[in-house]
Amino acid sequence: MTDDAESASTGIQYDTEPRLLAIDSRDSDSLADADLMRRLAAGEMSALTQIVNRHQQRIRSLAYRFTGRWDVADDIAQEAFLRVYRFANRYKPTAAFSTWLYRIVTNLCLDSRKARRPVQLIETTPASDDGSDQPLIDQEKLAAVQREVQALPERQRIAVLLHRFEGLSHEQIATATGWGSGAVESLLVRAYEQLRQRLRMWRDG
Amino acid sequence: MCPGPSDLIQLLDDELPPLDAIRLRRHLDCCEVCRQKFRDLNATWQTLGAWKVPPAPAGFTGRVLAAASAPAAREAPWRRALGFAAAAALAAAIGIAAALLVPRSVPQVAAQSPPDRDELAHLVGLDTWDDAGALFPLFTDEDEGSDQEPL
Repeated sequence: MTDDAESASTGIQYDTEPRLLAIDSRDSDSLADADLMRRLAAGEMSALTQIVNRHQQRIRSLAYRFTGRWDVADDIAQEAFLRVYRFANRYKPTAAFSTWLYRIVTNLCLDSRKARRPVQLIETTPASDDGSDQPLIDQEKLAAVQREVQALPERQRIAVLLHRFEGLSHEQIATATGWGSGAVESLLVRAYEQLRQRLRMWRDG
Repeated sequence: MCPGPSDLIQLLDDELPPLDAIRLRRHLDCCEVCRQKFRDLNATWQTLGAWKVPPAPAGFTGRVLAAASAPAAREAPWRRALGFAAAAALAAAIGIAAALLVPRSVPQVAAQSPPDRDELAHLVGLDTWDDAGALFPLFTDEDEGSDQEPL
């Protein structure tokens, strides 16, 4: 059944973001990541460059969404890649490299005192040419989303960030965090319920 | 039977096995309560999508590579801390060992002989200690070491 057909039967618009495709492409990269890790363990610094270039966007985004600050986020991301470098010889490609990396970042986020007190960082949106209020509304909505996600308890926040923004499945979150599947399920249910209540006025449609 | 909230999340996320997903969608078609819950969840999901991360500061790769090139980069921070602790413990051990092994320098106090009795007698204007005995019969040699009970 296609998304359109499903939408027609339930009357619900489905999110069409290619989340699962992103995960698949990540998995297909895992062999290359493993090769890079072998080269890094042998002391090839060019391998570290490739790893950083390949993964920095998602790692920095995750840390930024968790902390709300680029300076703290980049400190966390840098330490994550330094750990990858330090422990390259211990890496065993039994799990996807990205999952291992998410685990490092997650632990760093939870351990960082600065990261535990996220600050509100609202990006400014330029005023529209036609004088409409839409940019202001978008900005307020963005602020509300940031505020409510960052108001979640730490573990719920991590679970939602990995699930909604990084596209990880329940099982992948469990692997990346070391929490049990049941715990992840419970965290996500509570987090989405809180977000549903607090973001009610900002819902689309 | 109505699905739990986790089933709805997994349906939204396309994580349910195909048959379970079909079964759940059929349920949504006929259960208004669950359909509303799913609509709410989907709307929240879409709202969260408004959060786009702004452009990250440039130069991150260079920063990581510079940090990795630093001499201590290969060493984990806890190992560095362990190294400091080990060095401190070694220094303390050496100090303790040195204190135990080096012979103590006991101050050499010269054994001073008691002053000569005649010198003492001279100090009080007498010629000899025996003259003192004549003047003060209580302090004679016979009294020294006496077993007599003190009065």
